[in-house]
Amino acid sequence: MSLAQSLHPLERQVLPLLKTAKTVPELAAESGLPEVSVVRALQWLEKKKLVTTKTSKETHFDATERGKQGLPEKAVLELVIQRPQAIKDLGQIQGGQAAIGVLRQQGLITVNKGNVEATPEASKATFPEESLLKKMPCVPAKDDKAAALSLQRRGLIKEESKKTVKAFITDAGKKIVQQGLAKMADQLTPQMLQDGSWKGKNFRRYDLTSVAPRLHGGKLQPYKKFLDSVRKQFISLGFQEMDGPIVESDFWDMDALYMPQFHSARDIHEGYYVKNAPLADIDSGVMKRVKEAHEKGVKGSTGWQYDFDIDHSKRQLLRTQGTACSARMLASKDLKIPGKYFAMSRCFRYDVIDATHLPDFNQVEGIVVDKNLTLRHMIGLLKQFAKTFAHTEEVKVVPGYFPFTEPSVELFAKHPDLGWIELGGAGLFRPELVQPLAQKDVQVLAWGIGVDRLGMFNLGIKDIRNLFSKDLAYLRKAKV
Amino acid sequence: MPTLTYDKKDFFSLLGKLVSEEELVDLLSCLKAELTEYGENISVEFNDTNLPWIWSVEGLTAMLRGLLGVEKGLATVDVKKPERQAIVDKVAGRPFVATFVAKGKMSDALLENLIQLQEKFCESFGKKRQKVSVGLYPAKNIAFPVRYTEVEGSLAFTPLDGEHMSIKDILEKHPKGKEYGKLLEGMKKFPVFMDANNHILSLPPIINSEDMGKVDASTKELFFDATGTDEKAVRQTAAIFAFALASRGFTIEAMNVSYPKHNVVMPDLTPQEVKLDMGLVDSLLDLDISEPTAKGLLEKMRYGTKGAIQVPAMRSDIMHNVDLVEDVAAAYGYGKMEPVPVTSHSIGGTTPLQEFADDVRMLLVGTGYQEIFSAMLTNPKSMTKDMRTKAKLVELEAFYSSSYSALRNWLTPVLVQFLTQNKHVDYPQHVFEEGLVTNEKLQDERKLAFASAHNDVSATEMKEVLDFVFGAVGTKYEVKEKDLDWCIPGRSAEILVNKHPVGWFGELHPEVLANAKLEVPVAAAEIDLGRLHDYLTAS
Repeated sequence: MSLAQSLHPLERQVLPLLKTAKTVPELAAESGLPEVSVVRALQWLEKKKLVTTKTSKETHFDATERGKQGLPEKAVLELVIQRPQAIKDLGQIQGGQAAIGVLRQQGLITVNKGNVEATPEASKATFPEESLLKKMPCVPAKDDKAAALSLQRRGLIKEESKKTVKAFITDAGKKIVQQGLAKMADQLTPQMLQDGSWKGKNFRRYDLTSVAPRLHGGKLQPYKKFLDSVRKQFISLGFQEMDGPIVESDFWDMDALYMPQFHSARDIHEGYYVKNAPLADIDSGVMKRVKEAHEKGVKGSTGWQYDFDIDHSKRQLLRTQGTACSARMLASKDLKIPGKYFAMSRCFRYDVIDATHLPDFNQVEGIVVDKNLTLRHMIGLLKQFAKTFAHTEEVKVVPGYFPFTEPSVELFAKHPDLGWIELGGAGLFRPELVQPLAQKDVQVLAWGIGVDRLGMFNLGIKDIRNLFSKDLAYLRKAKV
Repeated sequence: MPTLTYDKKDFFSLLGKLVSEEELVDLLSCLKAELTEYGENISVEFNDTNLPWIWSVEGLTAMLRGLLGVEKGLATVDVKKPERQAIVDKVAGRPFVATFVAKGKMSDALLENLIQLQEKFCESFGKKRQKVSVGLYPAKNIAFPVRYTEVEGSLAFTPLDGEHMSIKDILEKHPKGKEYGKLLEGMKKFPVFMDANNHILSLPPIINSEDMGKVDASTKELFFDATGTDEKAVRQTAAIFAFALASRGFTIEAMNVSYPKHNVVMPDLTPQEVKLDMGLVDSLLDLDISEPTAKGLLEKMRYGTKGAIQVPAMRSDIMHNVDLVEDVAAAYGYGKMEPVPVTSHSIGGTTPLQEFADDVRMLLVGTGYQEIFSAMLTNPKSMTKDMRTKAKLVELEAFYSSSYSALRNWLTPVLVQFLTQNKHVDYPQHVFEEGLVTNEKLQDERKLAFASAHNDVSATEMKEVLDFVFGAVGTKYEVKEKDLDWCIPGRSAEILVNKHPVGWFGELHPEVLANAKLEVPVAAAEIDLGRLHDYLTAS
């Protein structure tokens, strides 16, 4: 491979111009390239030892902003020649005070009782500094050194330096130019393919190690993708997905789950009630059965023994728990026995917003309906979930409390770094819940998984708000 | 869920046995409680809001003694026959009362314990004093019989930490009056306890009298009252406090509580009798245990088992035999149960709309769009005014922050807000979201919205994506030019399928962008996936 082949088009444009040493502006003018491109080409060429550069520094002086307004003593003198001036007025002029001092020393003015007057010599006065100031920018001649120093001291001119880069072609460079760069091709074109002119051409070699422009491809949102995977796993375990509305009635959200209307267990469910919502439309049959279960119980149960308020039950709020979907399913004519159901639902709780609480959160809930299900089945199912979703066999089940299950279970799984974490709650639905809804002699295993927490562990997220990330840079960088 | 803190020394002296932190965690888990502190103090969080008896350190340790095998069988209290009386008049709105007298040795530590219990109990189980509230008084100044009655709001007495003032003023000015006064709202007359000399003892459920209702470590005889709206809860409360005081060596003297037409003796420690259904124990637990074994387990949970099952009067959570079954299981130990796999056959699946939505999401990813996922609660202004449009939203009655005070009714504003958050990130930006929105009829709609932001953006770019998506899902769509409020006039259109609108696309109006503080042009589109899916499956 020849070095020539790896030259960038910019390098190929600049190198042949260097028959004699040239500066960057000269090369830019000659090639028609912007100076930055020339500088880049020279840098690359120098790296390849085809060019050497020499940087020289030149110093010159230029007038400052003040200097551009002229020499203060001349301005002062001109005023004084016209008519005598009060010393304090002249002091107002920029550099005026110093000018008065200089002019007095030279015998061009006199000061009398605060007034400044011109002497007869004034009209013939010359100012060597002024002519130097007018020449700016320049490199002062030897004779002007004293004047330059004085001007610089007074802040009327300042020293500036400028770098000049001069490029020289090396022998290697000359050799490449002699070999001829004309046979090089940049791009393979359709034309070349059609007329065969690609033959005999050398294609420029690319530097494939250099940084490429960034591409932001499309991706799924990481947490949503995690939820997709949870859905697939439930389907593969034989669960059918259920659905339910975001705006729910108290009835399906709580009453149908046998949570008494007065009970403190409802405190944590104190939800977001909808402003000016009409009363929900609930089938009167199921309403009556649920009301009776609350007031008097079902067979074998005392019930909660209070007056159930139907209007209260029809109030509408944002769903507080995915179990509402399970209640709807149990009461549905589509319920299959045996059946397994799950719902991935957005739920809402009246809560402060911080790193661990969102008013908006996701829940995965579900039920298994069959005859002859026991607490041991419940534990078996939970262990299966821990294996599937938390990839651990190390689980702990302890009694839990949920108003709608009895017996109730809480499931903990051992996280390799974080120790025991609560995965979710479960239990057998109470008969006071099952009988009014399903009206059948069945057992219902019910469970809920705090999927947001699971997602946080899975994605290594510390702040729950990042599940709904608003940071595009994070989403673009997120691993799949 | 209430958390209570106990003095560790006192806790173990009541328990009568030292147990390690680990052991205590396991024991508490049987009672659905979590150990949250094990240092100088012991703090316990109770998940079961239905069993307030064990919130008292006396009740908790009694239960733990059962689990540890130190003591077993029915937990109860010896109560002396009533000698004193409480006369209860008809009090509208707060009719039920239980009272008793307790004699014993008070101390600062014990008093602190009682006050903690009283507060947590009335807050949580008592529904912020509405259902039940509790009062404690030194009995020595009280002339019995006491009377629970209703009085005018003009009646004055000196409340704890206050000046002599009328009931009306207490409700308006006293800190406790302001906090709990709403419980008496709308009442024409107000409930009070007064003694035989007409001295006011308290204004339940607000505050005690400074003169008559101030208990301290020197108090040797306590008068207790519980008042409330729920008869069962009031009775249970008296039993729980009597149990706590009796466990501390107090003698409990019952009182006659005389309603206008009937008389009851309080505290009532009569246990509830329930017959254990062994069939249910077998069918729910499948543990193959005998009846004596099951009863033995219930004795550990402090039930009586003479004949049927006796439920301590301190609890009222046994509604059905399933509740006993759970206690059998808890005493047996969940950890010892052999799990059984669920083997019934069922076919899993999701909804056709979910599958369709997932397909469409993949198409958007294929065009280079980044998916985002957002909260459904939003700021109403961002949905309407900021987008130069009007709509009725599902708004919330109460909320913490107006940023989360309504449900979103379309997705484009969500994308616009997202773009605003990412002004510092490299352009071009292409984002989409698929999800539910809720319309004013409270119905959910499944939407897809996508937006492109960069210097050369145009409505045509949206059309390219739409062509690709509609082509891939296999339907034609029609573009009907229409000026939309949130788009530049002449640069927006409706999307029709089978002549029905399913969405729109266009270039967002500069005012919309200015409202969002965006400095690049944005083109966007939004499609109703539910409706589109309906047309696709219909055709």
